Amino acid sequence: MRRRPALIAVAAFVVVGLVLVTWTMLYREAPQPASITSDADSNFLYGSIGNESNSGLPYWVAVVLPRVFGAQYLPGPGGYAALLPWEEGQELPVGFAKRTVGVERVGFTCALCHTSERRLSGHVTPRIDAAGALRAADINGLADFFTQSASDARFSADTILQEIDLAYRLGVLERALYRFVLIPASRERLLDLGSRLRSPHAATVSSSGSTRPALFPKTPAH
Amino acid sequence: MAATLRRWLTGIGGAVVTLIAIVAVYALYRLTDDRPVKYDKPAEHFKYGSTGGERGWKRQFGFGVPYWIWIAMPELVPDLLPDGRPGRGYSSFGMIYEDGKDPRFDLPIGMSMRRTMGIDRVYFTCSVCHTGTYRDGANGRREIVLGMPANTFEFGELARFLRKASIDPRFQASYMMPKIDEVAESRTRAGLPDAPSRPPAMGVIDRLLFRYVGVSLMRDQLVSLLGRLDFIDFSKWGPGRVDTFDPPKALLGFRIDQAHPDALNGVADFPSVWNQKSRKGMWLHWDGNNCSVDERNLSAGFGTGATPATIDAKAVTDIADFLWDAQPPPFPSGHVRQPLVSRGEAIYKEYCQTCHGTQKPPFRQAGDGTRVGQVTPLERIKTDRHRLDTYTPELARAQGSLYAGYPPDADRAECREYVEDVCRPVQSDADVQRFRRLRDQCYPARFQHFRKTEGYANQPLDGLWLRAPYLHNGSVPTLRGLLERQPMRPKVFYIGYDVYDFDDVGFVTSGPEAEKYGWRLDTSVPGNDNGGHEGREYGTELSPDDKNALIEYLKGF
Repeated sequence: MRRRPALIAVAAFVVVGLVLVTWTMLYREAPQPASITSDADSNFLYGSIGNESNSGLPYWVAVVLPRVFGAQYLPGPGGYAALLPWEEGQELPVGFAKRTVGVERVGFTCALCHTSERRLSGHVTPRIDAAGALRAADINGLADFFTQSASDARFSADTILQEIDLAYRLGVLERALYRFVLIPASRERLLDLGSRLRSPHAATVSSSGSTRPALFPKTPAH
Repeated sequence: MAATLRRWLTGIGGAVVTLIAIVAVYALYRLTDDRPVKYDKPAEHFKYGSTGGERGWKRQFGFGVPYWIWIAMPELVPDLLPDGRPGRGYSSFGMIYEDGKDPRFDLPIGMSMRRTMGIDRVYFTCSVCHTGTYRDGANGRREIVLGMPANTFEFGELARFLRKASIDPRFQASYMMPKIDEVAESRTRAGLPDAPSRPPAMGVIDRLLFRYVGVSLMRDQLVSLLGRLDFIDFSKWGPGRVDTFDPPKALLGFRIDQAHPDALNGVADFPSVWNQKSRKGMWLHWDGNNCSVDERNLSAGFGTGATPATIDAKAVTDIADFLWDAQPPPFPSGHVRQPLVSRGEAIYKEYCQTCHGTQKPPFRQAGDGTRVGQVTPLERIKTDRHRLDTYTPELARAQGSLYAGYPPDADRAECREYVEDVCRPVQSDADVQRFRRLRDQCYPARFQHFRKTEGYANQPLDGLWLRAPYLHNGSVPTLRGLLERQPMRPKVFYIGYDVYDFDDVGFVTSGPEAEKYGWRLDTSVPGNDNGGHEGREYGTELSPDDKNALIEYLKGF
């Protein structure tokens, strides 16, 4: 009987600890660096629109996906550069916003579709025009890539982690989170993105009949 | 009775628990083992120091080949060696064994060793491609030059050998283990003194591990690594040359079957790596695709097996610091016709200096060498375009995702400053100190300076005499040949023979000896074109006397 308060204290401690760890690893939000948010152009190209958690991908899944499946399911050599405008020196293509929501995640932004890559005479290096009129990004190609990668038999925590292990040292907890939560969930997410990227502004109805939110909210015409 | 049984059971249970604990501790000890063979002297560290490429991380087993398999392989499958002769280690690939080393049991320059998972493993280090040799005659003494292009090393042939060996039926424990025993026995008989780079013979547990797991695991590793590089035709490389930017395409998951064939043929000469301090801020690589010495090093480091997860950052920056001020050896003065030098200097200043810089570092001074380290467009330089084309705009972009996540605090002011500073030329010692302070906090960092160019970079000419053959693809054997128009340049010649030609400045590339020991370079093969860098402004129209004078001056670089 004398032990009960101690037991309660230990249990409370464990519960609080678990809640804290879970919150830190899944929900803790951190702002993007000022280098992105303080400049209007970079903010358009890489700034978050807040959709990382409900329609984005875990950062490392987004990074290694082309390394695992690009040789099969991308239309040409170049990883994401085979499909999307991508500025030299940037870690991700245009329209990929990296932000911490628990873990680092990638969300897709307006710039994914609304940016063009022009080749000006004398420059082989494409110039990125924010909100350009030319549609250079192959969004259907990206949708196919996501769908086909997620449908491949090789899509597993083992395969994806093996590729991540070539690129980064994930911490013990984060690695476990990737193995048991993030990678399995990514498969669903990729299939979902594959269909939603084809009609990004429309609410889609899933096979179970429920209505899902659009990838990008409809904006009034101007 | 029951008490006896209980006592017995308790005893057995205790023994089992103890055994499990011992095995667990031993396994933990082995799995966390990570000890490179270390060298105190910077030059030795450059020759044999590990970049981390041997070790693995989690599901990546690492690139290291167990020492005993490396040593036994040429003896196991001698018929697959280029010259078919066992007992010479990897000499037939032009790897360099220093005097006093036994090629059968010791490592050549450019191989490092690290004990990981309780196994002594070996893999490449920087010097494998950046150390060469020359001799002043067929019977001359072999001089080993650190930082020089590895003029004799046939990387492509070695890759072909490993590919063939890994799919050979003899690459399995029932053949490999007896061969390892045999090699270990002859090493004991040879009575070599102990050295850190000569690991002890395998113990009982190692033998079991190798027999049932190690050999087939190694085979798997080689097959999958070389399988990813299947699209590369290693037979086109030859000695002293490598296709730099096609392997990363495999690493980045490029769809090779859709790539243009002309963008998959980027064979180029190994570069020299002296005077890196003065190269900071110049456009590096043959096509000038990056201005950061650090990124260039990390990119090349992938070839030594060092990935973001396995790199030994301290060991790599130690190598970089050694190369920071490393100097080429001077041209043997007995072979310089001194009276011609000053006239040659005047010609050099008129024709060459703007692009190639001054004779000694820092190469660019106020008013001089303004274009050194800058890119000359292909329309002007007109040298072979394959190396340029293999570096595609898509690759430049995808490389931006390499070393992603590093450093963990990339948004810190110091690390942002480091990224800014990494391409700034060094003006003073204070610059160097500041740069190193930033680097040591923020290294390695994600690649942010790769770019697609439309030409080839104008390089400083330090150690020029040891950088033959010339042009980025090694298609012109000597400086004298480079001062001729294309029709007068040799069409076929032999590279990889290290006897020096002090008159024409380059290696001996013709004659029976060169043909016997060298590799036939045919300039009509795509990628080997020997045109370009010609015309009045490139000195090919100079009078014979002027060319002679210019060559004498160029010997002094």
